[in-house]
Amino acid sequence: MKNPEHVRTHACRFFSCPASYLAAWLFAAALLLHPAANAAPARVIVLTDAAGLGDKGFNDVCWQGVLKAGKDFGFEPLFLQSREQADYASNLTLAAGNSDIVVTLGYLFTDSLKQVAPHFPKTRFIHIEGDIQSDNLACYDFRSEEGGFLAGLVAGLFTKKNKVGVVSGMDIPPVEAYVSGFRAGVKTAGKAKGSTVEVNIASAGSFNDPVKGKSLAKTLIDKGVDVIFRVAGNTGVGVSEAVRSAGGVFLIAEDLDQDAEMPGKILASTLKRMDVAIYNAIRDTLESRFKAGHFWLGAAEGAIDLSEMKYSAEMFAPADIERVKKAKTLLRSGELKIPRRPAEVDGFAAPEL
Amino acid sequence: MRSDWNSSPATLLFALSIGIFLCMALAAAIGARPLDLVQTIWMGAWGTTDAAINTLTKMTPLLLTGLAVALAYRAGLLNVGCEGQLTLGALAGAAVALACASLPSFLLLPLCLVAGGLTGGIWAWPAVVLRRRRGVHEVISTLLLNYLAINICGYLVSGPLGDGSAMGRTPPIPPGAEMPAIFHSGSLHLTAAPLLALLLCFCAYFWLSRTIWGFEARAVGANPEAALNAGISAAKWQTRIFIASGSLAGLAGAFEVAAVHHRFYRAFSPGYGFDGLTAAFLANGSPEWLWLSAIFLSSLRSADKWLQIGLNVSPNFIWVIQAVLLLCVACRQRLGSGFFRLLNRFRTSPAPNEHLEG
Repeated sequence: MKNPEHVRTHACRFFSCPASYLAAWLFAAALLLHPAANAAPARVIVLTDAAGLGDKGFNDVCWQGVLKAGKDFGFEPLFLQSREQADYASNLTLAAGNSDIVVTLGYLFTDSLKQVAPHFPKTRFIHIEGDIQSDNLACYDFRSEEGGFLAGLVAGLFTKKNKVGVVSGMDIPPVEAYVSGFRAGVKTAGKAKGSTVEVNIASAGSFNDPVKGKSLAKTLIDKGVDVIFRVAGNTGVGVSEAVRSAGGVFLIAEDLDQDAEMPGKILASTLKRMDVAIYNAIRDTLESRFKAGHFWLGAAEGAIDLSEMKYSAEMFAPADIERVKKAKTLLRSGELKIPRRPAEVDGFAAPEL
Repeated sequence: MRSDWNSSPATLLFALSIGIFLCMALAAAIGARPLDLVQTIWMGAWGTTDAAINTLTKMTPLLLTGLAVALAYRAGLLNVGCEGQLTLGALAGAAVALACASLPSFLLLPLCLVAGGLTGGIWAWPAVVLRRRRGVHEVISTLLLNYLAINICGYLVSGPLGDGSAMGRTPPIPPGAEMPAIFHSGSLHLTAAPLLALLLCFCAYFWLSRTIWGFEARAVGANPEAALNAGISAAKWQTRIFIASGSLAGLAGAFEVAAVHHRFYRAFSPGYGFDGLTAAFLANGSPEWLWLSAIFLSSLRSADKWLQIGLNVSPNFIWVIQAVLLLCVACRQRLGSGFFRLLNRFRTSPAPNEHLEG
């Protein structure tokens, strides 16, 4: 359309063309459909970052807790995946306006929760990972470092080449806690074995990049690493792929018991019972016992544990299995403090196991 | 059949309606009620104030990157480097806002936007120089410059310009550099950014169609040799337009920082640069129709959450819907002419009986 004449002719053609009537009819139909018809009461909405469900880790564990609560208390939870960071605040607003309970999964929601939660005093927010103050918001943080410690212990005791690796997602505080705990665990295992075990850490910079996860894992394997701990959300799917196709390399999975996925290839999984925390929080809210605040959950509360190692226990010396058990007992009793920040790892005094 | 049927808005709407029908069929196949789909998309994009705010906010970067692509296209160049130019522009905007935090707002905000635009333009410049001096096709060079830009920015926010956390982001920009809100609704607000973007679009349209320079630029795009014979320097115009195109993409980034995120973070753009290509080609590269294609794309993008909680469909289904709609729009020429052929056959068929036998 180069000049006004063109615009005019086009306008005429547009209105005289049969297709335009069809299109206009469609638009009118879209306009006439009433908004209220869509407002079916959604009671519980779960929000995830761009990684979404199916990560066989963090998001899936949380979703299990919500599903179980839905079954027990008779509601149909809805799930809302954010496509990009610009979506967080608007998705949260939408969810908060259309539900009684909003569950947000992951540290990346902290900024937008701060912005949105105070505007919806009647909605209850349950948030996993992060510390935000609001009267209608309960935050749960997990002592991931304790899970990392157990993973590091298993990896350090198992490794034949005295080289272990970590593939992490984004270096956000909960992941840093995992990695710091892992290094502390490896240190402890090294002390028990009387040798030094090297830890190689690779960060993907994303929780949703399986391809990068795979290539990072391959790089670690090429470096001679024989046990890899993954803390990478959906990126970790690629790490598993790399380990599956490499001989003599083993994996430690995070958050969810995945030992049965690759029996014998996965040494152990760290367990983070976010599902229990969410289940309890939803139950309390529905029974009008909602408590706002920030809560820490760890091994002492039964929220952090290690899988049974059903398929891999026979690959370990009985003494090593005993060591892992002893470490679990120490953590549960609260006698053992694990470093949460990378800077604290060097000062960590490895316990005698 | 009409000769310029291809560029008429009717074709676009016709293609869209075909796409919507296909999507409704898809929805029926996965067990959702077809009409609900259309209704939910509509509601999700424009049904509530919050939704409309969200759609307009998402329109801004698409409009600006779309304009960047369209402008270059009019001068016969293809800028696929918007993603990198946008990312660099965003970082430059944030960095300038942080560095000059003490300036008053009426200076700081424009300065931040200008910095974004300049950086985007500077980043587009090597591509056009390479094209002129070495004959490197700008598609290759701008595409590769994207990776360079994104990774340079990733490095800068993880190190020198970062806020010290492990998140790979800058500190929040000072309030003075934030785009003022012109409309509030609960926890969301609408800034002046979409309006400014529309204004820029109109200026570009006016410049291209009503000024001598705009005519020269278009002449270069239409036929460089003819333009050269008419005494218009193709090389000069292509350089200028390409830098302007980069500036627009950089400006899109600065707008995002000033109006939406209020900081820069790693992996900043979720593909706005490439969506700009889609927006530009949906509008046939004409700035005057760009608002329509940008609104169309942003409506689909912002409706996705409603599809998830309204119809409980997987977010992946939304990508499929978008792809089907876009494909239909992209095939609009054939779809349209096919429709008319059909129509003509009905018109010319002499008698109904004969037609039935045929």
